[in-house]
Amino acid sequence: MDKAYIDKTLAASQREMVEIFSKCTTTDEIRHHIEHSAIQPELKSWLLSCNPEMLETAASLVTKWGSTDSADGVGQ
Amino acid sequence: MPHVGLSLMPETQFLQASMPLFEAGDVGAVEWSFDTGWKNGVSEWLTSLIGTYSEAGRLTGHGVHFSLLSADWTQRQQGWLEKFKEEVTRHQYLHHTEHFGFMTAGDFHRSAPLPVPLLESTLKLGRERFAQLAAVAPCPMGLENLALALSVDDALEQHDFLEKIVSPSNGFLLLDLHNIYCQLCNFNLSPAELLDNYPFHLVREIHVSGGSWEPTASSKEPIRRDTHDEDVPAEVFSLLDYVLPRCPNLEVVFLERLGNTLHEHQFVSFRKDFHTLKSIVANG
Repeated sequence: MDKAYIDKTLAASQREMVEIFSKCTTTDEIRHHIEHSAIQPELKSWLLSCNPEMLETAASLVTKWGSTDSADGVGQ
Repeated sequence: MPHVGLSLMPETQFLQASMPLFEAGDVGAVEWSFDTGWKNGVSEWLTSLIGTYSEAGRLTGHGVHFSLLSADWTQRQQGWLEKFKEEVTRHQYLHHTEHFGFMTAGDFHRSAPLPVPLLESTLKLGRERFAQLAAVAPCPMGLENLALALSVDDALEQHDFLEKIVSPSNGFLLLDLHNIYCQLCNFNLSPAELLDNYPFHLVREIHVSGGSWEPTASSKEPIRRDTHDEDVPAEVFSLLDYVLPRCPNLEVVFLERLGNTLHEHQFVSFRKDFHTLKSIVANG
C-alpha cells in the first residue's frame, strides 16, 4: 500500500455521517442522530446548521446511490 | 478558442444520438470517465473513439470514484490509485479531473459525493489526496465543483476550498455550470453572488448539462439536482455566456448527458444543445 495520509478522527465522523444519511429520511431524524453521535464537534455543529431540505437531499443521495458492495468496480 | 466536445457514455443510445455530430466533424474533444470502464470493460466502438481522440490530442480523463475527501485510506482506494497509474499510460490525455467531496466511508463504497466544511483538517486531507493524484498524472490535474451544498455558507465557500486544495500542486478547476445552477436555485443566489469571487484564472474546463427537480419532506419548493438526464436549461447557457469572458485559461467545454437517459425522441434536442454550446463558445 502507498503511504497515504489518514485522518482517523475525520474518517470515523464520515462513517457516522454516511450511516446516519443511509437510515434517516426526515430532518428531525437526521438531526436527532447527529446530536447523539460521536461525530467530531466542528463537523457536528456544521451539520446541525445545515438547511433541512439539503440534509434530506444528502440522505436521499446516499440511499439512492450508495452501494455496500465492497467489490463495486473500483480497484477490485 | 476552447475546444467543444462530448462526455463519452458507454450506452448505444449515446452513440445513436451523437453519431451525426461525430460524422460531421463537430466534436472537437471527448472526455472519458475512465474508472467507469474498469470493472466491465469498454465496447469496441467506444475504445475506437477514445483511441482516435487520444491520438489527436483531444482526450481528457474524468475520474468518478476516487473519493478525494475520504479521510480513511482503504484497499479500495489503493486499488483505484494503482489502476489510475496504468490508465495514464494507456492513452494520451490532455488532462485529468476528479470530484470535490467524498463518496466512500465505512460500508458505503460508492455513494454520491458529499461535501465537508472547510476546516484545517479537511483542507490538509484535500491537499494530500490531490497531491497524490497530481504525482501520478503526467499532465495537468484538476478538480470539479460539487452541486450539493448543505447551506448557503457551504455553497459560497466551495470555490475558496477548491482553490486552496489545487493551488499547492499547480492544479486547475473544472467548472460545472449545472452544479452552479443547482446552488443558485437551491439557495436563491444570483450568479454575481456565487461567482464574482470565483478563481476563474484556474478554470481549464467547463461542463454543461441538464438535471431535474426533486421534492423533499421539508421544502415547499423542489430541490434542483444534478442528474444529467435532461436538456440543458437556458439558464445554464446564460451562465456559460457569463463566465466565458472571465476564463482566460479555458481549454475545453463539454456537454454531459447520461447515455441511458437518452431516448430516440430526445436525440434531436441533444444535438441542438451541442450546437448551441458550440455557437456560444465561438462567440464568447
